[in-house]
Amino acid sequence: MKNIMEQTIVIKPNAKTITVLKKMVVEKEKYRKIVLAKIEKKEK
Amino acid sequence: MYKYNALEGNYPLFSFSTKHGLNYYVAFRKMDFENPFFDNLYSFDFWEMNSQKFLKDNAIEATIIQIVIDFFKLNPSCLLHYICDSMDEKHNFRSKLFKKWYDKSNKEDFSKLNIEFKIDEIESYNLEFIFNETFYTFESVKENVLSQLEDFSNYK
Repeated sequence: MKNIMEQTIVIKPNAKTITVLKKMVVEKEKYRKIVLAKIEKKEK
Repeated sequence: MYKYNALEGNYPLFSFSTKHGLNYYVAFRKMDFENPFFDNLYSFDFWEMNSQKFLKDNAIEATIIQIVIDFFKLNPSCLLHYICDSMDEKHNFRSKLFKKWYDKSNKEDFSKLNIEFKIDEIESYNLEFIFNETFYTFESVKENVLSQLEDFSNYK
């Protein structure tokens, strides 16, 4: 039987986890730049 | 809702233009971890090409929600995640939109796990997951996500 739910957990991260989270955000931004660079190149 | 286009790329990528001349991209970036539990993990993101401010336009939200719905139709077993930080000015809009999609979805199938990493009163990170309970149980996602973050934190 499925147990559908929504839950929010609040965590106080340690320094290493903060570094991991920051890296994830940086990777997200990096991917946006890659996509935009490819689109701009294609448009030229 | 605006008509959207699928673009060529390494990962699923979609775009649409608004009546105000804004160009949006919606990306589903496939994540690769050694942990097989995350074999079908996609990182969801969307942005305006020139980082222009969001104009009040309900069709933007409707289009992005439709793209997510269509993505899940094609990839029902995907584990969709989204990360945002409080320093991003559009953080709340993105998080609310992700929640709106979830609220509009068929809740007989989908669960949502939100993890808020609260650094202090100002800075926080939100890591959110949406998945179909046919393929994942809530507890297994929670357990694997927390364990994976722990592993990442232990990397030198």
